[in-house]
Amino acid sequence: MAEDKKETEKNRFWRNMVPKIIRAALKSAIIMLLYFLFFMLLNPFGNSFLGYQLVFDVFVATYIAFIILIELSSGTIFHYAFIATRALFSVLYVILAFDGGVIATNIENIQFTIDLRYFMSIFILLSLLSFVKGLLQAIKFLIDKEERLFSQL
Amino acid sequence: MKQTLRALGWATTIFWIFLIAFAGTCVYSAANTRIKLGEPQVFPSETAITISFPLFINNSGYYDISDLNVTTLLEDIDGVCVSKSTTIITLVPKGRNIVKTHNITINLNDIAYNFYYYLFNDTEFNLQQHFKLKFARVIPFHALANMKIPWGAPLYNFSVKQVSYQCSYLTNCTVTVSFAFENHSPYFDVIGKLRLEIYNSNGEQIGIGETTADAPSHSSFEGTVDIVVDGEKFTAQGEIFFYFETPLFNFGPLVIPYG
Repeated sequence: MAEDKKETEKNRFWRNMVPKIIRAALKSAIIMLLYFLFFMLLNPFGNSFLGYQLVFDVFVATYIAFIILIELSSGTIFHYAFIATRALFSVLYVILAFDGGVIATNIENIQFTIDLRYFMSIFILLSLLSFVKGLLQAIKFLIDKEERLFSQL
Repeated sequence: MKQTLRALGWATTIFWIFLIAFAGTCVYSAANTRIKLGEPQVFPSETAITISFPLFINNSGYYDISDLNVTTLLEDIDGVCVSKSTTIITLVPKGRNIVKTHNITINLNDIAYNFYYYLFNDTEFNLQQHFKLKFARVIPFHALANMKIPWGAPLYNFSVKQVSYQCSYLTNCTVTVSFAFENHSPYFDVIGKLRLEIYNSNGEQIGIGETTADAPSHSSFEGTVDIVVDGEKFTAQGEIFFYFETPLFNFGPLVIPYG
């Protein structure tokens, strides 16, 4: 009897986890695909952005780690906490990694400077919007949980 | 709250899609934009040398290029500005080709203080080229090319090799002046007239001579001029004044003592 219960719980766990894993894998694959497309677009510029490749790599790797954590923790408060954390991480990382939005690179004896501050401002605003959305979702999740507990009483 | 969150979710998703699409199309457009300077043409005049570059802009991207500014700054080895030239194109619409001339004007009066030095000494100039533009009207872009331009002196190591004189009568002497120089200039040949005036130790002019010089780029030139002088006034020591007249520059006197 106890063994059956344990088996049922195990099955239920995997029934819950499998869709989450598939969702996480799909989302990660889409991000990877977009990342490779982005670097294909940068191909004509040669090796000029090689200095920033590590920056992009770390960002995408961390973003994918967040996607996996967010998907696996769905249905819990951590899901929303990870969404908010990811948004904050994006903002801080982009500001620090790109020196406030001014990218400078050298090809032979030519120095290129691209000012992405307008672009970054929009990126930061959208990330903050995602952060706020994550917080509101977390609040809603707690309210719903309290309401469910209250209705069970 | 559910509806608010849903609206917020849709809004952020739509904005993210716009932002990613904008970033992607910007990178694609930048990769399809070509800006280059063509072969230069040099136009010398009496007061200035103008170097004219055709500027080709091919905007095959999805966005306009605005506030295009090409600035060329030429500095001598001490960092003194010799020439600063700017060409501004306010708008290059998407899908358009534009050709404009970028002129670099070197005013000879501006380099007069160093003209003597440039004629006789090799040096180098520092050329800075700035390309500034706004991509899609919101992304400022700046490229800075720094290069050294070697300057070869057209009259490098100009020297009088020998001054000899021969008198047939006491009043009729011929002074033979042999001189040499190297044209180190990679840009032009030294072809022109060279006039000599001989002065004795009392400062009196005792004879005038003239010859032509033809020193192609990166070549040496040796010349000899015979000057008939008044033998009574000729002294063992004196000065020779050299005057150069070429299509590119007139220079003189270069005073070299003899004896």
